[in-house]
Amino acid sequence: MAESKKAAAASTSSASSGNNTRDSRELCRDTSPNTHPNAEHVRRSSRSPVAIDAAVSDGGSEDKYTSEILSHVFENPRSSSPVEGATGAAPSRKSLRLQTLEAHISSCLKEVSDKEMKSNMTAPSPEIGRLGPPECCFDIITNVGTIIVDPDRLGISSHSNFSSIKASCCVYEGKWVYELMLGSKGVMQLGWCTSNCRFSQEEGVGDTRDSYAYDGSRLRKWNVRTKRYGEPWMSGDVISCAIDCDEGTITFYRNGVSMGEAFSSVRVGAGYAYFPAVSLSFAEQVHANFGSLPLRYPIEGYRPLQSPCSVEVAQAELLFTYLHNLLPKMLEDDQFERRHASAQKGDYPQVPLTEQRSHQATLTLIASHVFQRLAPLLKIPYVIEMCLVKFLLGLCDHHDWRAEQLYVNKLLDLIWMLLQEPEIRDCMEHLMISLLNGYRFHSFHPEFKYPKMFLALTLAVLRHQKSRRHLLTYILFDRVKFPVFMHIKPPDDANMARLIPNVWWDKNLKKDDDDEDEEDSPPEAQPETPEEKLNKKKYMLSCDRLSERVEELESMQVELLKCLLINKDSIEGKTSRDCFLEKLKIFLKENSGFSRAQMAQSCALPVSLCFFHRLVQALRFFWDDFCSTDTNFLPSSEAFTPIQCFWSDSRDYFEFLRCGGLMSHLNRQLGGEVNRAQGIEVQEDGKVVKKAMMALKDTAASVGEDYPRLEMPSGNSLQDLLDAVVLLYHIAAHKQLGKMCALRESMQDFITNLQDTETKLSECPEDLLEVRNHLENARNVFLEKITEQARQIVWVNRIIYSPNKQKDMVWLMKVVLKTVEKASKYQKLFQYVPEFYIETAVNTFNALRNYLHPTTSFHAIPDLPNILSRYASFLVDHFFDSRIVSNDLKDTLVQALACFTCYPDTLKILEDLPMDRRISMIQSLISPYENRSWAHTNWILVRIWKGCGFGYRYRFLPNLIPHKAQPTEFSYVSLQKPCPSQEFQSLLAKILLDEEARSTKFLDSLMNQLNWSFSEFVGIIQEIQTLASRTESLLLESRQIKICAACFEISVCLLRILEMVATIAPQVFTDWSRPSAELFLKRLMQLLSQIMSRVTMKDGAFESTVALPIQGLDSVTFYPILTVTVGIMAQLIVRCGGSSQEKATRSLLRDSGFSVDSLKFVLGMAPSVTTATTTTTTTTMTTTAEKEKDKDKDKEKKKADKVFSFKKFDDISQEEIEDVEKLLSYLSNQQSTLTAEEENVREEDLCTICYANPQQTVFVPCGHRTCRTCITQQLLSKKECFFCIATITRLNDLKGRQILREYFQPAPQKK
Amino acid sequence: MVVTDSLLFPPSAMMKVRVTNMSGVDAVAEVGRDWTCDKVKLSLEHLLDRPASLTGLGSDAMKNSLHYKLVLVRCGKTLSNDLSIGQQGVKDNDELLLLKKRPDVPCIGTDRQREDKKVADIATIRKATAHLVKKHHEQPEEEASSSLDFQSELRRILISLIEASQRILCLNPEAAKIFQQAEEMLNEAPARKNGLAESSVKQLTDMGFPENRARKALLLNQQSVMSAMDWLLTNESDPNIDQPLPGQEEPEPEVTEGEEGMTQGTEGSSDDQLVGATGGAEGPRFKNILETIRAFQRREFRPNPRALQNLLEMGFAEKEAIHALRVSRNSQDAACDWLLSDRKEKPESVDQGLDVNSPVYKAILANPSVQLGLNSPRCLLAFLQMLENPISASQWLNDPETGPLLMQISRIYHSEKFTPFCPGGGTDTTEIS
Repeated sequence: MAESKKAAAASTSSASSGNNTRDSRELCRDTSPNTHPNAEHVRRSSRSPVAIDAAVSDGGSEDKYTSEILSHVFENPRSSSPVEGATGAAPSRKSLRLQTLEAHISSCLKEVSDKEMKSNMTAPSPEIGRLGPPECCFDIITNVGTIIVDPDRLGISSHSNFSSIKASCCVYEGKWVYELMLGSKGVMQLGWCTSNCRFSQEEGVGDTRDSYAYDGSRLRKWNVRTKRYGEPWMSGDVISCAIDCDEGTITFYRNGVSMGEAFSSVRVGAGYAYFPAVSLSFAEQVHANFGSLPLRYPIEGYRPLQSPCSVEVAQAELLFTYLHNLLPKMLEDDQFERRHASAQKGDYPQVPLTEQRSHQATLTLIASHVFQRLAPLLKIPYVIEMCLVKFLLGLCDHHDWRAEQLYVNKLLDLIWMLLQEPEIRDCMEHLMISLLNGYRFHSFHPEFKYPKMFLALTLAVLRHQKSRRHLLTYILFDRVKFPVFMHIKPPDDANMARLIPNVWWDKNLKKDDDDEDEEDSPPEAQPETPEEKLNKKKYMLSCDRLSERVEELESMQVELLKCLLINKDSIEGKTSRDCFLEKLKIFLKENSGFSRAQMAQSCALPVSLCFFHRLVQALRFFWDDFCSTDTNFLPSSEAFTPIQCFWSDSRDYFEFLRCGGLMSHLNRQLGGEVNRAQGIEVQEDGKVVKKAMMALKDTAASVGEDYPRLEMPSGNSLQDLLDAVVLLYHIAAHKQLGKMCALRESMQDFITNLQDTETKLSECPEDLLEVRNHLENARNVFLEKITEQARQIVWVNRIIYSPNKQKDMVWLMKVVLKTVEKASKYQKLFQYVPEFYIETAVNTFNALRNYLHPTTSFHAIPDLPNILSRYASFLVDHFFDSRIVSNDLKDTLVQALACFTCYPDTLKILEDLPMDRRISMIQSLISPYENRSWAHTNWILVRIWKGCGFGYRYRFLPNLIPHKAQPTEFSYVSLQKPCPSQEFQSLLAKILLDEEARSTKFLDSLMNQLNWSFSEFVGIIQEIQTLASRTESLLLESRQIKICAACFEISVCLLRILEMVATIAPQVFTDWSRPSAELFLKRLMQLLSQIMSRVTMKDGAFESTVALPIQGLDSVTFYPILTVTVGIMAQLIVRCGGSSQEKATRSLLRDSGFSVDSLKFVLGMAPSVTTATTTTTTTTMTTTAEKEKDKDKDKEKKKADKVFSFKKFDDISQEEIEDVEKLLSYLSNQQSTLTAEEENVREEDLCTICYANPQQTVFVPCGHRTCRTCITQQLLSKKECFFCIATITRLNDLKGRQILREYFQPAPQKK
Repeated sequence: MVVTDSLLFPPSAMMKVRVTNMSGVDAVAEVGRDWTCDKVKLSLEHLLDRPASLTGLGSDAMKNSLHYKLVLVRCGKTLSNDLSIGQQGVKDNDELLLLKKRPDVPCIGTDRQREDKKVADIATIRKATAHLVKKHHEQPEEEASSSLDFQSELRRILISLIEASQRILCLNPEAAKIFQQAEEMLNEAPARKNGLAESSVKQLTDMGFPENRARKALLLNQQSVMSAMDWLLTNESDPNIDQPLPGQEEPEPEVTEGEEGMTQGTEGSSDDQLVGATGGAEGPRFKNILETIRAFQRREFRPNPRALQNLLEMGFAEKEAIHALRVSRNSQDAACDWLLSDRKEKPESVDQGLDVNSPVYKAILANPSVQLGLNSPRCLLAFLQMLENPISASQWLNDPETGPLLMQISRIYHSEKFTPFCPGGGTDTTEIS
């Protein structure tokens, strides 16, 4: 029997068998039983039965139909044409009756197992050469480190940095193999060890004398020492570890292909027995197959550690042959019944019981006999994978996967009818595991045949209602990792090379994508050779083919999800969608954590990204579907999450932060408001009264007063799903999108370097042999790498960043924007919006703009201006929104706004916003923050200015070797070309001039910040100087260096803003009718002269810091800080002219810290020795310098080259230089006159606070005196006398007239 | 009990159903809509496959009926005993199958607890393998990898990389700027370290210490005035306090020597075959950057005075001791080892790169990211700095651009050197320890 089964299974040319009359019917069919039976319907019609035996029924008790079926199913499996029997009256030769069926099946099975046993007898006994329990698994007591072992003790994952574990069986004689299915691709050492090996946190498999391992992450083999070996592995690979205990060799195979003998002198013999053993680093996962499942890649001559259950398999195969014969009959009968029923249109079945059993009953009865024996076998995983899955794959038509798979469905019906409860549980679990393994660990096929087959079958299984419900409730998510079904494994490099034989890449890369708009065709576009053109064509063609295939897989996955999201199959009040959502929420919760334990368990990011995209597709499908039935619902293109969803309990499945803090906090604060917004009243007795909806509509005003009416019905499962999709994007998908970007960037890097190298090669003189060799080597290395990457990038370009994915992202961005827009109208209740919605809005924009673009052009997004404008409004509305409490979130928004302001196209969007938005943006930008750093908003203001300031047009600081910026959005952006905004500058000027209070506060905090950041900076560089003079080698804390650089940058940035203010609204300094103008001017000049003198001090801390080669401080140079300080002076003194010139000059020269030498410094003029404020150090140093001068004139010349001067920079225009020269000569002139004036002031008349200015004001009531500047500054914060702390009620000048009234008027804005 | 039930609730609606057992025996039976399965099964006793001897008593029959289940053919549903058959959808004229239940046998080997104990212990293995012939046991015990001095290896790597990098960069349009910057960096360093800060000497002499002592103290105490003062006070009674530090006289001539070497280097290179006819005006200058470094280093090297003194006290000749300290970069122990050993490493070799034909060199240069680095001026700067000042390595390792590159190089080096040990924070150490 077994043989006949085999023949049937293997026969592809069954037509050849026609040796008896029955078999002659075989002629009608030319397909093997393993091909899809459906096909036979078609074929059959063209052929007619050749011979029909006379119907003779010898089993008196049997009706004709039963015996027909019996003989068809059981008697001659070889003639198992499923359809023939139904038409003709097939007779039975033997008397096979239901009564004897049980015995018949038993005897057949015995026959099969006897045969199998016999054949096993010839093979060596499974026990020879092997020790341990018959069933091999990991031995948990051997675990070192932290390893989480699955219940089957075959799957393991590591939760510590390095953990090792052994298996329970060992081998000492013969050839053995086991397989490891990789769930991750990191550092793992897989192999064999003896019981002598003791592992630790440091030593794993391969690190001890008698252990041997392979690691495909580092490409090494290990046995105490390590050598290069093997191929790189990927998650989804199957690694076979084979040992030959007779010869003492170990070989590893990757996906069935040998990587060569790894070890040839493994110690074997007396006392030596080898255990399978693995060591994993953190979060790595493998699943071992010691033989409990069929080996995926059996290796000739090698045996698995656990002997396969061949007898059971043979029996199951025979039983499946019976089912194979039986199923078509059952289906036919179903169809008959259905036709019958539809003809009757009555209550089914109304047919009165006839003499004979119905066909259905007979068929079921026969099936029950088969299952009587099959059911116990279906608990064995080996049998499931070997027989059931294979059988199902045969029944399932993966080409036409959209069609209903009747055969699969029928078989599942039978399983659910005839298997008992515990049997079903085991069977379903192992079936699913097998399907997932089959999908995940399939071998490569250029047409993606295997993943397609397994997806089609999974889909067919999930379409079966009972199975779907059971799997959803117990298996998917719980026992297997369902999202893996949503992932598509990219082929490895070797297979990619098969798919894409021709490689091509774009040689005309645009280095800056922002240039793209300006120059559509780069001028130096290299013409393509015909060869290149052909190559490109072929390359594109294979890319297209690949994306087509993958797209089909993707649509299958979406179909799979749709199937799980069915909402019409309610059982006990729950639909599949409800179950799915429940599981999805748990999944999200498990994956959102950042603890180490969760990290090790969480779903791989690429999988999550795929899952996200499929979910979006499925969700939109159902959303639109539902929308067509419910008019309250918007189409998916306009979907959003209504605010009431956020305060409903169903959303709070774990504690994520809301804009206003934790949910519990919000409920305490805003519970009443929520009720009001919902039109609910809580009466005194605690009774909840909901105002009737009709009444609500009538008195819309009463609710609409505070809140807009609630839109969209809440509590819809689709909205829950939408929420989950946003969360999934937030926790995983976005990260993965960003990661993919790295490949594109690195490839561009290689391409530019290759081109660079090629140019050099062409320019390289012939005789520079060494140089040539090096360049040629470099070119070859680059070429090889780019070829490899050109293939890898296909996956990124065509699959991950494809236009379809862009659509998903745009949709998500719109959803989130709309959600926030709508929610924002609910005043305080906006605080219920989860933070991740806000972040997702920013992230999706970044992804579209920086990740997907330029692969899929950002500018190709339909309706882009509208989206951008909405996004801009979103940023402007919320970056300073007091309803958002988290500072991190605010920072994110500010950064996003900063990014927005530095590209011309997006800046335009901001400039085109409605006036009130623009004004509120500027107002928010200049509002000083409390308790937080100011740097971020400053960056935005600086952007508006950059390009207009003194010598402020650079992208990279001049004189600095440009280096690659880190591809984080923020720093990347700061290197963008300047694009100043006149619009916002004038707006800012207007606000500064019109809004007195606001501008005073702004300037005050600006200067305070500058004061703070610059002193902080000076403090650190002084420390550096001291350190540098002491120790031989400089060791600095990197954190301190970072702070130092940041403080410097902040100072420069703040100065730039002061420059902007001085340029666009000089009145705030020079119009002394404004109450604080004089003060601000003085403070400004004080700051400027301090900075100038600090920076330009000879041998000062700044100079020595600049001279030191300190990594991380290379942005600290003279240029940025000197240009801006000089720029402000030049602006106020030279450019403004008139009274401003005079006032500014006076303030500057009065300041004790100012020295004209610092101005000379910037022009490269040596300070005149007489005027220099000489400290002891400078004198000694100058003398030594002079000595050196005598010593070596060349050195001095070199030094002269090094002297800093504005004139050496192309970034400073001639005009600007002239301004500085004018400034210098003007100030030198003025200085002499002013010093003469100053001497007239008697010392006792000087202000006792600053000793710089004469006393000018008298405090009332206490009568103390100071200068005007000191008291004005004091008044900005408090109205207290310096000397007696009395509250000042008014200020008089020396003549008794009241001055500075503004400070004593009651401030209306405060209360 | 069942019987009494039916008596208490007389059958209301009776249905006609056909029941078939597994042997294909049919029976048309009248059953009540409110009957449970058990009751139906009992009423069908004659269909149950049990020996007639058992059918006599009701209780036995019931026991027997437990081995059967009823399946409703129309829906393919197994009927449960909890609800009446009517509730489960059985209708008039339905067909039922009376099927045997299978005993619930546990799956093979679910009983793992017991089997775990069967894992072979050493004794069992010995017994089982006693008859086998030993193979491959003659091979010598593999030595743990020799403790290669990674620092000196790193030096060689860096030198090789600098050589390669300057060759690749010399055709860069920006080359002049790059090389100039590199040279500046090197020349600035000595300016900073050139001798003692006169101010510190003055501070000490102002306190009343003799100048020679003050200088010595500052030299011994890394120029820290405070520590120098402490040292002066504690060693005041030391009779040797006025003895000059060994090597103090030496460096002076060496400086000039070195400087000459440097200038010679720069000039001498114009004869260099590399320059040739087309080297360009500035050509020769770039190529000598490594020469500059070497010259600089020869000049710059200052033996640690304490270590040198100790070595001299051990009886080594001063010249050798200085060489040893140079080779070992001022580590006294390493220098001592070097002096005692057969001095494999010649002092000159310190300044040489890797063997061009060695696998390490080839592997490093075949790596695409290394090639990228060689093309980047910034990386050249990093290499130069690390060569000059090994401590700066930690800073470059943290740099986003050079860090990964340095890790990569260290990884390649270690994989080619076959040493599992990896200093410098390569993946090997982080993952294993």
